[in-house]
Amino acid sequence: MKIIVLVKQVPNTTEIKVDPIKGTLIRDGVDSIINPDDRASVECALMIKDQFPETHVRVLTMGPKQAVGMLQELYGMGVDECSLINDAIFAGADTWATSLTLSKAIALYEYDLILAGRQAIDGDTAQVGPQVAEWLDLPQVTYVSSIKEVTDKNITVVKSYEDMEEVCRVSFPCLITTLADQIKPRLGNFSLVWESNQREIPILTSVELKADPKEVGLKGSLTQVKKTFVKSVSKKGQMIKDDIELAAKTIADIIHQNNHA
Amino acid sequence: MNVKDIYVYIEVREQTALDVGFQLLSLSQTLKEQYAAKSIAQDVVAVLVGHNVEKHIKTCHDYGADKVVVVDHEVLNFPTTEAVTHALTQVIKTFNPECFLIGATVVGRDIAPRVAARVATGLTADATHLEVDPADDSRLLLMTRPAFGGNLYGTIICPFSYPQMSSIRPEVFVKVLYERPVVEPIRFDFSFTPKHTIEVLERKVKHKEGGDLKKAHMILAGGRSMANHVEKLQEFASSINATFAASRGLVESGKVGKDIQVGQTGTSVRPALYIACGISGAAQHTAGMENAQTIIAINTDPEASIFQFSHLGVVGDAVEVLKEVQKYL
Ligand SMILES: Cc1cc2nc3c(=O)[nH]c(=O)nc-3n(C[C@H](O)[C@H](O)[C@H](O)COP(=O)(O)OP(=O)(O)OC[C@H]3O[C@@H](n4cnc5c(N)ncnc54)[C@H](O)[C@@H]3O)c2cc1C
Ligand SMILES: Nc1ncnc2c1ncn2[C@@H]1O[C@H](COP(=O)(O)O)[C@@H](O)[C@H]1O
Repeated sequence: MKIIVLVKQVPNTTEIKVDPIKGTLIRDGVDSIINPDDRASVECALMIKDQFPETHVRVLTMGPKQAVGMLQELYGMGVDECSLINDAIFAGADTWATSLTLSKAIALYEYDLILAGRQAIDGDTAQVGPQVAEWLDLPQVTYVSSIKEVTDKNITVVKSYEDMEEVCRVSFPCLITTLADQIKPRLGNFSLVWESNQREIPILTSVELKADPKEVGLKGSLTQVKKTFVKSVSKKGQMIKDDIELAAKTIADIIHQNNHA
Repeated sequence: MNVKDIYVYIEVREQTALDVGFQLLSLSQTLKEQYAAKSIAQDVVAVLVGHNVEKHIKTCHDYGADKVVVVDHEVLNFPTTEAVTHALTQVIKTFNPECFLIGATVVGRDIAPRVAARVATGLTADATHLEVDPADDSRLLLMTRPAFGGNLYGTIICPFSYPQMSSIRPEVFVKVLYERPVVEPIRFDFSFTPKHTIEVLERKVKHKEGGDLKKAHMILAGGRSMANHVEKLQEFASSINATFAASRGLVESGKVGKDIQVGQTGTSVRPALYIACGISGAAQHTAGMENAQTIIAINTDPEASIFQFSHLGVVGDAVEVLKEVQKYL
């Protein structure tokens, strides 16, 4: 079986703080991590490889050169091959241009299953997976919380809705997006990690992808960012310290008001 | 191309129309007024997709639809990716809407990207503020959304393609009774030959610990530090008729289930009263509760960011403070 996993390197957004005076993001010292939902995708691919050892797992990522470090980490987990999609003209892409570029890269290879994360924590759009499926004309199952069964023809997964779970079976080829909540990724294997530092990471540019500069990156994007801003957090209401009795009375009052509203 | 009107997808799952569609119809009436102020006439059009959905037509008008397009077919009884994508694409190609809004439910977030790609237009995810560009001669929709875990906001435009599309999370906007007159619906001729086979083996309701958070009038939520006091908080919550919820910190402790998580990756809520006990106020949490009418925060750390969002902030141990509150109830 041939699996392609789409993985993105993202800033650890829980560490990002806002500079309240300058009104900008403080990114210094914020580390880059593998997008959590994508780690779950990698784990799913490796679980399938555990079951069917002849499975080939390929990771594709589009991003800056520094993502090489992340790909080496993935080799350490047991991924077979990684490529970095990198070209100055790919920068600034919205989900339309990103998904088109990724699809062109995917089309260079054979695949039965494409795995992606539900969403990337920097943009949180959850659009790239379904749009890749659309470009490749594949069936998709999004919001997959676990995999139940895999055969050489199809995959059975649990899809998570707001208030419901669905078990469904989809034939290959297809695309699945995974949730990080219930899928715990494995740690790197020591000897693989050791070897992975030596492995070269091939780079796919617009030449290999035969990408028209007009349809990728910022130029190929259909949406534009008009402006960005940080939220002013200044709502700060009444504060009560050191007077537990007053606090308790005030809270009880508010509860009463709401219970009779 | 002549584009016109603001379209809203009304998601119906097995006969139940989701509230978010009605919230977006009401929002669209506001956008319609903003367009009207620039002498651009728009109608608000509900796209009601499902099977046996006649009963929802009037509700669409009630919450702001000027017209209703009905796409009714048995394959649409439950919204599947392929069928709904096909339905919405056909509607867009037939009517050329100026704007198209979709509720960012699990279903909405599954189909909206495919529809946008198929009709070759841009899509903004999870907008929290929409406004018609005040600049003269502009028909652009300014779609503002959070990114980087809610730390940064971006205003997105879609200047070259139509429709201008956005998904919007449930409970970000409120539905308002407009009581637009009921008119004969436009029945859309839907023909569809499925190509992708996805076999559904089972659908079951998830076990819910906390009742329906979205509908809760009052919510009492605990954070990571409350891991050893979950029962006490639950008891307190039920004594005041509040629904119990949690931050991801508490969910991660393993003491409560993920289904009661409030926030960006949990549920967005809009109760009359939200009491945050021992919650630090990370952007991913506040993104899901900042629209509550009244927010009370209890935290031992006077610098906790949750106090930036609270109407009443109490510095203290949450368990002790609630014990004291009990005396006055
Ligand atoms: C992609 C992504 C998505 C996320 N989505 C969500 C989400 O949907 N919802 C969510 O909640 N989080 C989410 N998070 C996590 C979020 O960033 C925070 O880590 C989380 O909200 C912290 O939970 P907490 O406030 O309970 O815990 P902490 O941050 O550990 O805070 C505990 C607080 O309790 C206070 N405290 C300690 N003892 C007491 C006491 N006795 N009485 C009163 N106060 C006390 C402390 O001062 C502190 O402020 C997400 C993170 C990521 C990366
Ligand atoms: N630059 C990228 N390189 C590889 N995969 C990506 C990239 N951007 C998005 N993806 C994949 O698409 C998913 C959804 O991303 P997003 O739509 O940005 O939330 C991610 O979890 C990844 O699996």
